[in-house]
Amino acid sequence: MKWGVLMNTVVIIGGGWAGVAASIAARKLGANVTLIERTDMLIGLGNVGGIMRNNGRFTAAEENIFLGAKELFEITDRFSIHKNIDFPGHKHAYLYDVTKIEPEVRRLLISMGIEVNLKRRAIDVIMEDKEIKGIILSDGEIIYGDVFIDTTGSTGPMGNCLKYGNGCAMCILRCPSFGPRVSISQKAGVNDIMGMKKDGSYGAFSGSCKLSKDSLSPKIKNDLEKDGVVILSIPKEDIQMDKLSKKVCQQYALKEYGENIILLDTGHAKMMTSFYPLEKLRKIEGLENARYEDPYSGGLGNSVRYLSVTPRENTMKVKGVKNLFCGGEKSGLFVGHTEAITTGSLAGYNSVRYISGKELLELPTKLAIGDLICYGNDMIQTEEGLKDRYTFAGSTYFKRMVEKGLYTTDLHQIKNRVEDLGLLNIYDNL
Amino acid sequence: MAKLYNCIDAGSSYCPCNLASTMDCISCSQLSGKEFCDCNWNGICIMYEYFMQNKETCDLRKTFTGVIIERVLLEENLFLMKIQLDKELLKELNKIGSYIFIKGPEFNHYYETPMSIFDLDENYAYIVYQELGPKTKNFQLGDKLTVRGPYWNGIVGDYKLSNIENSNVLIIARGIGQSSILLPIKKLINKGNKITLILDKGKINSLYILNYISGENIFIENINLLSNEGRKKLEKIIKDNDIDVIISAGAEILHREVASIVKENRKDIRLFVTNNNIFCCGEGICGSCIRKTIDGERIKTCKTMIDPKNIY
Repeated sequence: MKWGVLMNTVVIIGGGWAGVAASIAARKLGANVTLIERTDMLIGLGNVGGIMRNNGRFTAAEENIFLGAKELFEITDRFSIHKNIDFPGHKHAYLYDVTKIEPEVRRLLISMGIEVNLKRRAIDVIMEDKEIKGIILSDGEIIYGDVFIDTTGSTGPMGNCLKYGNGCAMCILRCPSFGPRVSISQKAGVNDIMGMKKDGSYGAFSGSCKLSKDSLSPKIKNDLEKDGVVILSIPKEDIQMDKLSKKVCQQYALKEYGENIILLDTGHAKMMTSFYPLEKLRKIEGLENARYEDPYSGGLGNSVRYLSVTPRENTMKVKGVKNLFCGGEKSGLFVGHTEAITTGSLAGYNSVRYISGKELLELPTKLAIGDLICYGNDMIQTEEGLKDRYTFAGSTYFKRMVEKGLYTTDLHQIKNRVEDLGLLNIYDNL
Repeated sequence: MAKLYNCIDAGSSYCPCNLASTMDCISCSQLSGKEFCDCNWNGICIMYEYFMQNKETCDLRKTFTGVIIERVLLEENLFLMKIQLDKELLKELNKIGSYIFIKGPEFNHYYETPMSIFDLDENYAYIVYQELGPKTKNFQLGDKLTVRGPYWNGIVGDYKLSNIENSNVLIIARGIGQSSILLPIKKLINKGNKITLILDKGKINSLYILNYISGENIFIENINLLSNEGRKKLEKIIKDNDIDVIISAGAEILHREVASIVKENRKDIRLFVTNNNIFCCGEGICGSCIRKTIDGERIKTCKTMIDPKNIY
């Protein structure tokens, strides 16, 4: 075991990509790390996602790696079944195999000595003078710690998906089985901020659904597995451009996505639209037998997200609570695994700096990842900003990234950028 | 905004109830006026059920006709009544904490009185009651009864008593409180629990329960619980034995006594208390069963699953 031992305990609530990244970052600095996850799987929506390194996410992934947060990118790269593929609006994407990656992530965490608690749901906090002392689980047990990281995300639960969406679509988060997400920051007394759709209503739909590859025609399945991407035209009478504005993933809200069915091979056939009525889908050649893999009711709707963002500093510390940090969607209107790993890693790193009495790290805006964290924070202060989403992969933020000259695929340039700021491998040491 | 609790009716055929339509749901944040989800999770989403029924609530409990088959005098003013009842209703009453409302058919609904199910079998329910006031003075052998039910929160706690197994359970019953404990004893023994029973004759001056229980897994003590000496004895039993669960069956004065001993000595014990005597509508509507928590919140105890340590 190469990780040292600090006596202090970091408790991370939520085992999605952000919570996993935070756990690794904190554990590498020697803290005892307890991760609490309500379902029976880690990486949350990462079990149905899979898109890495497209557009600015390449730069962001490499910046993270040079800072020292390399473990998870090593896994997502290793499990990628397609590398460097292009699809409309996106270049050099990697697609990891969602059907294989979770057990590997779990093995990594356990091998590092992180205490992984699955099927345990956090429902409340014990507070003392603006400081969290412990987390109460639904079975009544209390998990005490010195510092806490809220990576509970912003999706669901059922009542929210009903009120702000088309109802529970039976997504991978499986609230009916494992119980609802609880906002830890809100329980600690900090009110959540809600993202909005373009029309001003709350929340937004997850941006993609997945078809079973075996339900596609042999030709489409073959093409998909060979090229990683297949584009099929939508019959004219079924084109609905207005649906694009309701989805989370603004980087995929392009004209091409309204006029075509775009399939990506992530183990499943990832379909780049929030939901699509099954009978209409089956009108398309090669999809006559199509059926959904995630969400099960992808013909009706999808999970509703961004209902629970917490106000925070750019160090990822939650405002108003002394010892609470945040990452992932909890920390802003961010989209994607890379964004979750980015914010989660910084939260994990700073949580240990906090218990060690050290000044918290704020990533400079000369790095794309520092700039996103800062920009995302600025934007949620405005109403227009609450209607947008922020990702290295496209839309508003990628445009900014290009304009600021932060986007590059040149590894030397990225390394120099990190090194010049004195941050090379900073995550490896306190 | 009140805190949200689990509801004994959640997920049953009586949920969502009228409280959903008036935005007074005990469990659901959105069905009690909030914008977003924040519930204690009952295993189902009540709002979902409500919307799936096109915002129609479930019917309230029906009334059934029962017949008094036997009426046995146990002690002065104390009767055991055997009531023939609808088999479906009996099935639904076969749960710890069950109770019904009864009245003579010729009386109007003001006369409905809550009665806990003492025991039941395939065709009959048994209740033990005291003939005290206008509601209870009119039952005669052979009479028909109007019976409303089933209701389940006659024993209040923040956990389902029926899920307790292989544990040490202490049941403390005083006076008429004995009429609520036979069904729990039978069911808890079937789940491998060890039961210690502390009895106090109380005002009814009878330990009739002793005629109905037997078994190796029950240990019985007889104590005057409201005396100083009794309290000390009880305290010692709670301290010395590895008790997991306590059921306090009796009047509120007993619950307060037991709760204070538990809080002082063993906070981790799961406490349950009987309280069906204060119910009036049983549906969370009338408010007669409201009790204030220590934090000053008002709780409808006819439906709310709450730790009695927060009340007594």
